[in-house]
Formats: sequence, C-alpha cells, structure tokens
Amino acid sequence: MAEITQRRSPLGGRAEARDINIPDGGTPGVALQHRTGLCITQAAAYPGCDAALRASLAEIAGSEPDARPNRSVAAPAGRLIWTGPAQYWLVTEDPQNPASDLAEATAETAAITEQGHGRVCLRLSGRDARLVLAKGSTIDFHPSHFAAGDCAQTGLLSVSCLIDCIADEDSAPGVGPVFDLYSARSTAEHFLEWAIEAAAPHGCRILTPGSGIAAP
Amino acid sequence: MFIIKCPYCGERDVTEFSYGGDATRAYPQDPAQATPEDWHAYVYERDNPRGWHVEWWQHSQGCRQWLKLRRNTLTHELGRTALPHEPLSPDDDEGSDA
Ligand SMILES: [Zn+2]
Repeated sequence: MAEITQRRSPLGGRAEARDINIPDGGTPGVALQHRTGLCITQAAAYPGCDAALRASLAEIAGSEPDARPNRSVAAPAGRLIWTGPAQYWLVTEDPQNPASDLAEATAETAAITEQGHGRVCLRLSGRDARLVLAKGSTIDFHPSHFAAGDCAQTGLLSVSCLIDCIADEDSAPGVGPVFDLYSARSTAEHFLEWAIEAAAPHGCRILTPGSGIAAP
Repeated sequence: MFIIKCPYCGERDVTEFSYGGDATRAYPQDPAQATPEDWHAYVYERDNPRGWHVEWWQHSQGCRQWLKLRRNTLTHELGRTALPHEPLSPDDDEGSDA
C-alpha cells in the first residue's frame, strides 16, 4: 500500500489571501493566517514525573517548559506550551517531528501523543487583535494580563481553543500582539468563519497560509 | 451565570466548566469488603441539600482538571475550590475566596 504523507488542510481553501473591509490607503486592524505544517506533540507526565518530563523536553526542545500554569516558552525547536497539570505541548515545524525521540526519552515518565493531525492553527496579529479575542472569550486580554509567554485554554464562541501569545506590543513594536489560536480540526471551518466575522469590522488582511512558528 | 476559580487557571466563566455531581460521597474504603448497601449508597444516594454543598466540576474547556467547588444551592454563593485529594466539606468555614 502506498504511504500517504501529504497533508490536507481542514480549511479546504477557505483561508486564502484576501482583504476584508480595508479602506483604500488604510491599514488592516488585524491579520489572520492559517499556520500550516505544524507538528504538535503532547506530553503528559505520569504521576510524580513532571520534573523528569521537563528535563526530557529541555533536552529535545533546547529549553525547559515553564512549569507554571498557562505559560509558554519560545524554545530553539519550537513552542513549549503548558496545557494542564504536568502536561505540555511541543509545537515544531515540518519536517522536524520530535514525537518518537521524545517517546523514547520519556518511556518511563510520560505519555506522548501526536496532535498535529487533529488541530488547526490560526495566527491572529495586529493592533486590534485583543479586541477580536475579547469578542469570543471572557478571559481578560489586556496587555497587563495577557502578554508574550502567556497562554490559555478557553472557549472562543463556545469552540474550545488554546491561545498562545507569542509576541506583544513590547516585544514586537509596530506589529502589535501576535496570538496563535489552536482549535480542533473538526470545528476548523466554523472557527475560521468566526475569526473572520469578528475581525472584519477592524479591517482584516488574510495572509497566504504559511509555515513557521517563530514570532514575526 | 457565575465565575469559578480553577486552582490552576484562576477565575474563569462557568461556561468553561462541566458539572460532575455530588463531591461529598466517599468511595468505599475497602472495596473488597464493601456490601451491596455500601455500593448503593456510594453510587445512588444523594442528599439534594438546600444551602451549602460541595460539587465536582471539571475545567473541561481549560486545563481539564477536576476540582471540588463549595456552592450554596439556595443563593448561588460560591465558596472555596479544592483539588480532588484536598478535603472540602459543605460546612467549610474558611470563608469565600472565589
Ligand atoms: Zn483550569
């Protein structure tokens, strides 16, 4: 049997580049981009093994994850995101897939599960990005409360979503805050439609789907 | 509508949580010796109190942690939250920190 390795977008071409409600000569309030080619590896420590898991992640990702709840770290290999007590995501880019190395390193300490096939990632950035998020969730997205290195799992208009703030007004001046929004593949279209509808009044530029997880 | 304080994530809207029932029932201490009456009490008997109660909630849209929440079924006033292994009773008098 032939091996099937080609990725298929759950968004079916709906996230192609276009401008929405941007006045002539004006600037978009937000930009949206479908992030493609991401590998998401979930690591959940067995009881009492959180520190050992963090050490293994440090070896493989190049940085140790932050053990504090709802914190994320930019590691040399990608993003390390707290997703629950003693649980982390390591988000890397194709073709770098650390799942088997991590599974080997943590055979006695953690359960490793690949999640990339089941998630879709939208990057929301720009001057009004915080206002767009505030339309969907009751979390406080003020810069003093939710800045680079903060993450949260919540519902955006009742769709479960992980929000990772990878840059803020201070760390990316001129770009504005940058958020990566991860949602389930099964609700990806609805999620994208909500994001576009929420972003449209601010003037929204949809960028060509692209890879990469580094901050702009 | 109310706001629950997750031990990990802090204050979050109730819509992020799922209700999990009565948290005052104790699993039989020695399951091998438990009688059918013990199991019946653990699985089925519920008090439906009017006033302070302790309930299971799961932060299902957030960190997925199960927690105990002290809640007044009459006034909807909220008390402390606690992790599953931490003791929390309906009579807890440590005051509200929710
Ligand atoms: Zn939580």
